[in-house]
Amino acid sequence: MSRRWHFNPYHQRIDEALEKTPTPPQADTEWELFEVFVRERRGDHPVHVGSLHAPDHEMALVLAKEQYLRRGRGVQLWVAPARCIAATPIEDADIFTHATDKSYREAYGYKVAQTVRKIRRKQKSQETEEPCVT
Amino acid sequence: MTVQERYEEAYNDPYYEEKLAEFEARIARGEKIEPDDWMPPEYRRQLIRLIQQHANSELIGALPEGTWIPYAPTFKRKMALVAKVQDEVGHAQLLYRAAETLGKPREQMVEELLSGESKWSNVFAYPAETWADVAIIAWLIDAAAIINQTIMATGSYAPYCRALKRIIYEESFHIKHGYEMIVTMVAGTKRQRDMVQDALNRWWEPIMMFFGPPDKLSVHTRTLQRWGVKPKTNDEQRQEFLSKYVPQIWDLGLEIPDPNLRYDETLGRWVYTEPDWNKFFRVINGNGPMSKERIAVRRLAYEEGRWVREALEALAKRVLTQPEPTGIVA
Repeated sequence: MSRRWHFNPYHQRIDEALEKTPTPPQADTEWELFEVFVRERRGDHPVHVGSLHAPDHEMALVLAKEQYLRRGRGVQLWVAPARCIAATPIEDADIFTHATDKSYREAYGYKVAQTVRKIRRKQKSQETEEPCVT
Repeated sequence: MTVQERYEEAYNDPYYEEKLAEFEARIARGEKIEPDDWMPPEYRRQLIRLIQQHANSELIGALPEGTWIPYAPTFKRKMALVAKVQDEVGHAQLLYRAAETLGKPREQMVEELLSGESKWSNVFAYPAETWADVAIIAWLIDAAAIINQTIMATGSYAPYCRALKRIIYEESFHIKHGYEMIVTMVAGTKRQRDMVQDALNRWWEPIMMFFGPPDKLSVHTRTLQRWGVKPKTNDEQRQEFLSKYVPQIWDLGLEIPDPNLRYDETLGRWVYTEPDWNKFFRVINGNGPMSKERIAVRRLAYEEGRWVREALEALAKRVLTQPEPTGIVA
């Protein structure tokens, strides 16, 4: 590799860097994984936005601000070590499905439109009363 | 687990066929794959390669424009360039994180980039010679990237899709900023218009190569498409780019330096001079005009940033002996 002299010290350093063999990154610099949550406005839930590695919780907040609040809105940042989070196994998603029909627990499980129409029809026609059984 | 170990485990697994069928059924239903899900080793390998190269491209992509920050013509342009470069580096970090969820360590990816072993997009191996180059890059290359990313975001691997959504949202200003720069110069003096046309003439071939060579029509390509690794082929993505941006380029009165470029009604697609794919492979293998300098700049940054990593490492070691922080909320 030919050595030239540059006026610009930045270009000089680039040339030197080109000639040096890259030092392999040190092993074991794997920092702890933190999960990041952003509260967009007061009153909102903190929402999970991603994860990052950091040496401690304070640096995790600094790095999270850089990565996740460089853009957009936020009033608060949370970080939690990923090892503190317990989770159900993803392959066991069926533990959340119901064994029987539990629509009585939901608003859509109650259908009244047909019965209301029946009431209106009755009022119009002034019929004698019949028991209404549902 | 090494790559070899994963393949061996899969082929020795008596339930492999069953797991594969369930995996493919999940994707066919349009469901995403999370890191803890079972996946075929080939799926994992291809995704790592793809995401790592994308991350490398974001990091290297910051460099052609980064060199222009001190030379931007106005303060607003300077600030927009700084923000864009900052975004690209942030995107690289998001993507390396996504690749980590598939089991590849960050340190290995850093080493592979610095040694030149790992690849990145061909377009960043060329120099930004004039200010008009910066504008063409910000407009057309970010446009090509957004088309690619929007397509890849429909893929099956959830951490990559989530990273892409964030990236696409942040990149919306890049392309607008690029287009504004182009429009400003085209509406300006003849010298400015000529500079833009000259930049387009030099950048058109690399842009046409951006999406990569036509995919081999193989079982392998079809499998990757079925698995949601590559929802559309390189040619299909290139066609989308041409349909969206060639009319816009012509609308500004600019000429595209390919006399064969036109939309063929009978074939229902754009026809063009096929790029020289041997040249493309030479460039991505490290022989582009700026390939070596890009890597040298990354090595320089890595060496000059060593003291920061060492300080944080000392912090991490010290923290291990200290008590946990107390919770902040109920």
